[in-house]
Amino acid sequence: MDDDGLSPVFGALADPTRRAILARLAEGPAPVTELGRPFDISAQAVSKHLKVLERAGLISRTRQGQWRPCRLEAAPLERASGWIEQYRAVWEDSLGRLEQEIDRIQGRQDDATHD
Amino acid sequence: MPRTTEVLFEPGRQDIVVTRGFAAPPDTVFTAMTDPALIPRWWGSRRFDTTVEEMDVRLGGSWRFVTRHREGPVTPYAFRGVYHDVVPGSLIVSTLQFEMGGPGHLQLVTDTFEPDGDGGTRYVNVALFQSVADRDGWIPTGMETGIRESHDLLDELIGAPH
Repeated sequence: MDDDGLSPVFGALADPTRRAILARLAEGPAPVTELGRPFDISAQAVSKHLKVLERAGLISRTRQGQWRPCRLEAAPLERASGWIEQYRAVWEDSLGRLEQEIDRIQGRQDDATHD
Repeated sequence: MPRTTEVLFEPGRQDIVVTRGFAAPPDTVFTAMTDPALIPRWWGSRRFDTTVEEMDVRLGGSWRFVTRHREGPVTPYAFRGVYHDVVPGSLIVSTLQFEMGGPGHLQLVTDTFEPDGDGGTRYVNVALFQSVADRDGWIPTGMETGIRESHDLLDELIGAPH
């Protein structure tokens, strides 16, 4: 069921600390030390969160340079949001067709009342 | 009540909540939704033809719908389940299962029909999956969306607190 790789993405998004880290990275790349600062957690815990995000493909880390900044990767977010949009579109379409049927039923009822 | 469909999909949860408004009263929406003759006209994706093989909307009754892609593979896809609580005009609790999906992928579906205070109906469909991973894997993807700002995507997905 998981050949599209979305489960790790949704799993990574399920944690509030990781969501806050992503929200920070949406403003631009940042070094690990800065990412951990707003939270009352150990450097080790921050590093664990970053690993989960990295495995889900949501962030990348530059291998060169002293700061090794983390960067947000938009592609998995786009896939996840496209997934939800597709689900919504199918429902929107089928409930829209149901509504047409309801309009028809009500039209018939109105006709019957007028007769 | 907006007549567009809203989907609530929160990360880490086992459910998907779909909400939509209808201009007709709950009784009418309920009756239309539980009419086997109407199912082929609206149920599921537009790209599939749906046949109702069984639809016995009462406690312990079964349903089975078979869908066939209009232009794609001829293999039929069947969905089935059992009705549990049924309160005409207000509530249906049922199960839903994709027959080819195998065990572990059963959904518990709760449909509620409430008056919206304006002569219409607020319809809510809650699909509860057996696990978070099962919910997240429900729809096979493979579609591409346009490039959008990371900010918008985050807002959409997680309601990012800035």
